[in-house]
Amino acid sequence: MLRDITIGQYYPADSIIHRLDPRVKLFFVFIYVLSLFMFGNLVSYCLATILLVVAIYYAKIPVKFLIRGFKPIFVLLIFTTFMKLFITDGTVWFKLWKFTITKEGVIDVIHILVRILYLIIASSLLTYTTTPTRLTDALEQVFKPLNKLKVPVHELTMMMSIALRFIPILVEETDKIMKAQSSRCMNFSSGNILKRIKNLVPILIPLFVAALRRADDLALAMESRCYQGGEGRTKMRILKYKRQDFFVYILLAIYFVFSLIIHLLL
Amino acid sequence: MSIILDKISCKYETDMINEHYALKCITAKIEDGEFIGVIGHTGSGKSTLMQILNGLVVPSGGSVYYNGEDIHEKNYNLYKLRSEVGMVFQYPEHQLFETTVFRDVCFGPKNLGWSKKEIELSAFEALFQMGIESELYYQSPFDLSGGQKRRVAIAGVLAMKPKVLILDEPAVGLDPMGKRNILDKIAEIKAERNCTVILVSHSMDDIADYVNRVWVLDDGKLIIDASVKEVFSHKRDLEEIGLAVPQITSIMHMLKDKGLVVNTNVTTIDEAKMEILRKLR
Repeated sequence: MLRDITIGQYYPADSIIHRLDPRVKLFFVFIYVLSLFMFGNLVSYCLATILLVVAIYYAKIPVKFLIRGFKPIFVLLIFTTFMKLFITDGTVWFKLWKFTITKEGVIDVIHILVRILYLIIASSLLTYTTTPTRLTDALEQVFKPLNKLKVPVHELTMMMSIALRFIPILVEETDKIMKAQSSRCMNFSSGNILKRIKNLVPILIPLFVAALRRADDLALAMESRCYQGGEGRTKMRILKYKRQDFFVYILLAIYFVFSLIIHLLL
Repeated sequence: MSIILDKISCKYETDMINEHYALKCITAKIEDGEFIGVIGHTGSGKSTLMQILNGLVVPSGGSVYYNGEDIHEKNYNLYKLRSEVGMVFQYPEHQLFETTVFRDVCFGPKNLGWSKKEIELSAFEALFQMGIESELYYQSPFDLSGGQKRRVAIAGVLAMKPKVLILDEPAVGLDPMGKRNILDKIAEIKAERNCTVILVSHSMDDIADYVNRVWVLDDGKLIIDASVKEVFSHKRDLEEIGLAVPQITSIMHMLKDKGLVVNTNVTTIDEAKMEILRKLR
């Protein structure tokens, strides 16, 4: 079950999308998500779908792998859907005992589902096709101007990349600890809620201890290699736009303007 | 009373898409009271095999029979299996969580629903057998040294009075003294409790002195299943897969090559001494 968590993971492949400049991908996802929430009409959703399908196709990410990333949030999705479906007031379509389903409710649910699903697919496409290092490089580049406002951009992006890097490590650690405790006959799934929360203690404490230990080790390793933050630090890979990057920018601009026009017309 | 492994194989998904077999068709039988050593280098499937014995990993093919019952049968009680087959993981000190050493050791037996008296008695016994000084019992386990933590964690499994004890690299990462100490303790416990012990290691030297049967795993296959002496006579085979025979066996082989016709079938220093003295007399 824990191995299903694919958030923030990188999927190694050799594709056009993988080779794109990370800044392009970052902007793309940003504008894309923005467009999802700005324009809520059928035509723009269709456009967004086409764009997403094309991106998935060119990224060479297996659909099986994409779907697997949804499993952890599936319950959340179902929950929000039902809440929205039964709570929204409006023209009644359907009545079952105390629950009423309204026209507005159904429309709202469709909006929410499309937006959340596409948001997740788009952002996971970004992390699947971009290594954490490249993503951090891009973020650092993009937010560099904030340095003038005394925002520690490098430090923040470094934190982000470490956090991303640690997701799979901590997942694995949790898996190991859970196995160790269940071999001591620990029962995870019995008793009332209070008992179940208490059951988490034998897992959470070793997990925190492990996280602290790893953080300490990493800090030492970084210091012993003379890491001292962003000041005067040079880059091994310098980000440089290529032709395909401009092409994607143009595509993005066309998509956005087109959606905007349709939105204003409708 | 025995454990039977029947054509166990285990599939792993490596990078989400590619499949890889961690274990390939392993068949073996473990009798009561045996002391088995499992060797193989990193990635040979040792840990996976051990977790299968404990019911933590479900094999993709084959079955495991504990005392004649298939442990993957639908209504087989895995808790009962785990209370009888104790498993000590690699770096077991990473599983400590309680406020005191004593309470941590009590965690396992508590899960078995024993009475308070039984739990405490069994915890004391386990701590005593692992050689933990009594003034440490009520300290936080996080304040102990690495070797002490390791022994406390092993005591945590011992306190459940397992009939079969599986130890996955119990001495890894310890200094030579701590290593000896832990392995000696395990041998003592084996003698005292008369339980079955399976000891996983990647070092031949560690195992040779203690166990009486050795499994050699390579790339998911059980390639040798024999007594210690027999295994180390396969010097060539072992070196081919990157495992060395104990140093002393190596020395005997060299002596033989140099012209002193000794029996190379020794695994401990004492035996080697006797053998050389016998030859020189």
